[in-house]
Amino acid sequence: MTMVTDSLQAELTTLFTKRLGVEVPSPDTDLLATGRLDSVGFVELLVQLEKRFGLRVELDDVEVEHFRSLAAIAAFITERRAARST
Amino acid sequence: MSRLLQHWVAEQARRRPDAGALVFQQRRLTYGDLEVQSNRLARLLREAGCARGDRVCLLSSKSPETIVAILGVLKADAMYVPLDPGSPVARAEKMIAACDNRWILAGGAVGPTLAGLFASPEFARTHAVGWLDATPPPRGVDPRFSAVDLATYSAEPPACRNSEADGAHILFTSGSTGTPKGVMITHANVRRFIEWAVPYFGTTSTDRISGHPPLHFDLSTFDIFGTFAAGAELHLVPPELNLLPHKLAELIRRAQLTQWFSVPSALNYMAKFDVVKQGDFPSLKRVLWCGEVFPTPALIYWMQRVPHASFTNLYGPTEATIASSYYTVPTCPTSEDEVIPIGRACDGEELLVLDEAFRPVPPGEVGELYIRGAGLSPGYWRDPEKTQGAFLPYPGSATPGDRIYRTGDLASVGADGLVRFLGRADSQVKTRGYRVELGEIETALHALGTLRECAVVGVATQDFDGVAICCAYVPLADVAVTPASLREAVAHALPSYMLPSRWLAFDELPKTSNGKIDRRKLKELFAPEAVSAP
Repeated sequence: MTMVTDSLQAELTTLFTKRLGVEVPSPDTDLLATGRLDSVGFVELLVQLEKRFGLRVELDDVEVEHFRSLAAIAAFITERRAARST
Repeated sequence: MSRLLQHWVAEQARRRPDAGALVFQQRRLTYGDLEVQSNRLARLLREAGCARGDRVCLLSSKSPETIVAILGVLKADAMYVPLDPGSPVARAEKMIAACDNRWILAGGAVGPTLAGLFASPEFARTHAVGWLDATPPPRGVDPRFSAVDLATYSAEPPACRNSEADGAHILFTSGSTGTPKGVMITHANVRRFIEWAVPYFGTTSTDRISGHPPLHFDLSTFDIFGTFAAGAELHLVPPELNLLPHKLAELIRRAQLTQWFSVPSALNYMAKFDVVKQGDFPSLKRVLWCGEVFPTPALIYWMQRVPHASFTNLYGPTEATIASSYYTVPTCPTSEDEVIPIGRACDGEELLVLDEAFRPVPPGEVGELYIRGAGLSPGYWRDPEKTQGAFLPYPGSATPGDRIYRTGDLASVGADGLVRFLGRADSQVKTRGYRVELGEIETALHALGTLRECAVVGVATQDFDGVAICCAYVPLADVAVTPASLREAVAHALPSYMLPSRWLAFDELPKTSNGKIDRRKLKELFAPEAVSAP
């Protein structure tokens, strides 16, 4: 795991705690199976991803698996940033 | 011979064994498959000591196995009790204890909950698990039987002794004192709705029907048995798709669904993200919703884009089985303020809007809504006190068993004879179609032992989830709590849809002149988009 992903995951943990009011025990916690991320949280998350990471998510590019865990969301953000800079 | 819910499947299996009954992701089961697998499970349950009238809890993800389990339990003359697989262990334990049962049929992603329950030696001594999946059971759980054992049992239907008046299932709803209430529903209760709905909607064997609500939700019994009664095909919607509105729309398109039935929030969510195209879903014949008010702007969105479908509002609490009234919207509303009626009673039902002396209120005036008819549950499972409080004798009737159910909803009857829903008479709220008693949330928060005071109120939002659950709290001296830590702690007692989404800390809660918590004031404070965390 790179330092970039580590810090991204830490930022996401804070975002979940502060903005969504949800504690996430570990980057691999299954957000969907544990009910930590639902449709209401998802809407807020999209707003925050744009605000904090400048990432405008197109729904058509999104799969359920991208939001399975903080690790998956971090990987998704990294991948989208890379795609944008090329 | 009694006509029981499982007989619809048996009849289709006899006439059209190869016809599709159930689709889930890449899997497809025929009526023949359903019949054979449920016969085997029923025989196994009988042999394992499951007796007529026993309660069998289902702690199982939405899957073909769970549908087979529902049928298998009914064929064993038992009642199935579908539990929320996402339920915290403590809440699941309360519901299982109330059922006073032995058997739990489990499958899917329920490992932590199941292991949590069986961590108690007393629970493990008095309960046994049947594991429904072909995959290995979760660690820490030693099932009495698993899916592979079924093959040794005969595929012939077992003889049933149940009658239509016997219980088919128990569904738990939120209870204001902190303990969920079990609503017992009979075979006859479900039959009367299906026997009205199938001809009314014109459902046939060519229909492809959505299975969107979770299986512990009473709407799902219409999806399941409405499909089987018509010999149609049920397409179970994977719960995870609820996160992504465009995936829900894609499923309707790809599976060429002819009927969509859900709580309004799912339809509203798709509208909010604008995932429905003009003339989309060419196969879709009807859109149905139930559980709460569907905001008119979102209804207009749907009716404009899918003009070839009919749109029907169904209304009814679990206690009166699936739905008691209906209203098919004749034309697309011209104003976003238009109130969609809950309509007229389904066949065999009666809607009564009464004043405090149980007299019908004049047209246009507000009263409390009562339901009378064949859908009424016999009552709350082993709770005569709550049953007597909600199910009352029909005023003036000398016939024993002629009862009305007090919904707690406020309503009026228009000059057009249509009933309109106007709100609640108590502190129950609806969020994403779930009935939530705010008292249950307060009880759980108090039980944490970190708060000096707390009050939970529901605030209507313009957003798709309907009502936001808001918590005002005062921490105990020397206790550090945050909204996130409170949410995390109370999540051990409550399912996620009951967790407050807005929080405000106070030094002291606002009080009315007679010293009660001023809930009206709190609602005002929460009404603007109050921050969810500092």
